[in-house]
Amino acid sequence: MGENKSDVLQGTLDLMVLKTLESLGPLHGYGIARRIEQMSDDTLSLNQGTIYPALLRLQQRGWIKAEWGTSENNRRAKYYSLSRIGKKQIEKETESWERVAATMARFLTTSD
Amino acid sequence: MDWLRTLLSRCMAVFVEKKLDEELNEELGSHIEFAIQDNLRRGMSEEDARRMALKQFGGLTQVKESYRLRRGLPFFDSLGQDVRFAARQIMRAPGFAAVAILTLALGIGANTAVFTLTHALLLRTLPVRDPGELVRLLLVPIISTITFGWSPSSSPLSMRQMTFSVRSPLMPKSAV
Repeated sequence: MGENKSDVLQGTLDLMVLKTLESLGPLHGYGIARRIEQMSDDTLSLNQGTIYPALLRLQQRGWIKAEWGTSENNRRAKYYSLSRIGKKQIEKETESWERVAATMARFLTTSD
Repeated sequence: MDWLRTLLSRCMAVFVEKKLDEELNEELGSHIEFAIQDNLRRGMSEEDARRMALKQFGGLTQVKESYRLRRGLPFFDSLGQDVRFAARQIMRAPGFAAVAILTLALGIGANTAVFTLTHALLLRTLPVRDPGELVRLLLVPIISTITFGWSPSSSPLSMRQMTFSVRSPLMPKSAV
């Protein structure tokens, strides 16, 4: 884990969490954090703890829901899954993120 | 709608704070435990695995703190704390508190009285439709001729150009 950890924009982290839950189904916080680390090839290694305020934020908006469950090694853990609102929200968030990314790309490729 | 749900969820959280705290502790405990297990599987020693897990997590206390700030209604929490603190201070020195409160009360009272007076006499506009158009006409007797005292250079004739509407004649008794 390198010293200079790139800061993750709030909305970005939210969308990463949503997409993770969409593709992997119900998952606990550690699982989500690991998945995000793996997907970003550990270049964007966030402090795993920052995932929890994000999870709370998503829960408060009603985009995800949490349930206590038991892990494969028999430990109680909170499992998060997408809610109906959350599923709809993914589309919107993806769209707005793509718009931002496209704009940024245009800035980065224009040389003059 | 998101903000409404968030507000609702924050309000609900106030009533079950203790339970939520315990849940958060357990959840974060599981997180660290999972990380340790993973690290052990990668062949770390027990001690290294724990140290690494905590390092990957980042500050446990900070996370709990920012979680709590987001959860309940921290503004009302701190407001309550301030009120309780104030009450304790008052109980501790009731004499001093009484003097302080009295001083404040007198100060506010005196200010209000003076302002009310100033407002009534100087600041408030007269109760007419267009106070800016008000004109005060004074009849000043100069050697048996009656002229308009407020425009000494102009002859009384020029005053005919202006139209006055008399809404509230304010005549000092001596002028009549």
